[in-house]
Amino acid sequence: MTSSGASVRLARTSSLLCFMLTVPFALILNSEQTVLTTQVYLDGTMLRQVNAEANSYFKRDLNKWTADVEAGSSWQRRWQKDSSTRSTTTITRNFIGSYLQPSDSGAELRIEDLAQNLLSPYTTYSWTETVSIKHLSIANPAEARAGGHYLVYHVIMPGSITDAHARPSTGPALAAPANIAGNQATVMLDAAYPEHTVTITARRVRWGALTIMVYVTLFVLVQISGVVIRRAQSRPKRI
Amino acid sequence: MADAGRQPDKPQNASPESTPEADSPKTRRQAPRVTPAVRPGPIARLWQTCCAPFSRIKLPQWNLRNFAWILLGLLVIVLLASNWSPMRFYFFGLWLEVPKALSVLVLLGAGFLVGWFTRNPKRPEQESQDAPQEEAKGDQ
Repeated sequence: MTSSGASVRLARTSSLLCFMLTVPFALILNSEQTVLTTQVYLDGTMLRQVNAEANSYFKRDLNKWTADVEAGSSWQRRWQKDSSTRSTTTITRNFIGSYLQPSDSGAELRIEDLAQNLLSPYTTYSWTETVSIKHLSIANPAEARAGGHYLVYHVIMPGSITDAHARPSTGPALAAPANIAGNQATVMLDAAYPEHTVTITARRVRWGALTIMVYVTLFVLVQISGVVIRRAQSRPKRI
Repeated sequence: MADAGRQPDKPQNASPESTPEADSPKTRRQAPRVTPAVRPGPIARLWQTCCAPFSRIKLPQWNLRNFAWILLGLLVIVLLASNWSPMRFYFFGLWLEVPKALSVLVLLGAGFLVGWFTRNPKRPEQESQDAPQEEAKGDQ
């Protein structure tokens, strides 16, 4: 863990993870919905999950496409659900990662805690990631634009989200609006653009540090008042 | 009437402890019974009944020692809470997902138990042999 300026960057020199998110366009194109969920915990640990639902005809391909999603590490767990009534297949994969790469990999989590900002009552979490959609042919962007294909990018932060937006690296400078609900934010990433930069900022009250501070202050006040009262009582009174 | 409650005259030099009557358990038990002028109401009696079991409880003093212990407890709770993120253990194709703090606690507990069961307690004879040597060292 290295600190830079007023913030800390969770990093490891020989990290096993690389948080450059790459999603194959075929997955977004052929599935009814592709949801990528990232849950950030207090200590920077992340749970990443990809969930895709498609017609049962694509069952085998869906398995491959979800496996091809590069989200920072190899997927650890996999679930599959077949719906006979709707003739669809849902595949979910996830992994838990403990370290993050520096920003040159396309993703960065900055945590401003007590050690970085002593006076603030909040811990701030800033999550930035570059999402890359791997187009297979030049025609794919036009195809995505015509069909209205989106990747659902869902983030769960350890505190309430104050700001969330996604901006395509090329194309319009208009940021995609994010749907924020407490500590969760959902951004729809247009598959017509090959790269998007997602930025999420959240903050959380430092309950632990505040509790300890109040406890210590209370003890000091009680001790001082005890000394003052004892002195007042032991002072000789005038007759 | 006024003298009815008075005790019989005693010699002024004699202390109450010195008399054999004062030491006897009978006199100790015979505490003066005083009936309060206002009889407690049903709510007050119920309150007294409820409070009776707790009246014996002595709360610890908030001195420096207890303060330090509670502070240590708070620090441990904060440490556990901030490391409650999940981690996965893999074993022969099986996954076990537990909070990181819990796994640390379990490992510490397991280490403590292993140390507890495999310790070699000193025999009383050995302890008695060691004691004079330690005293001699302390004198030097």
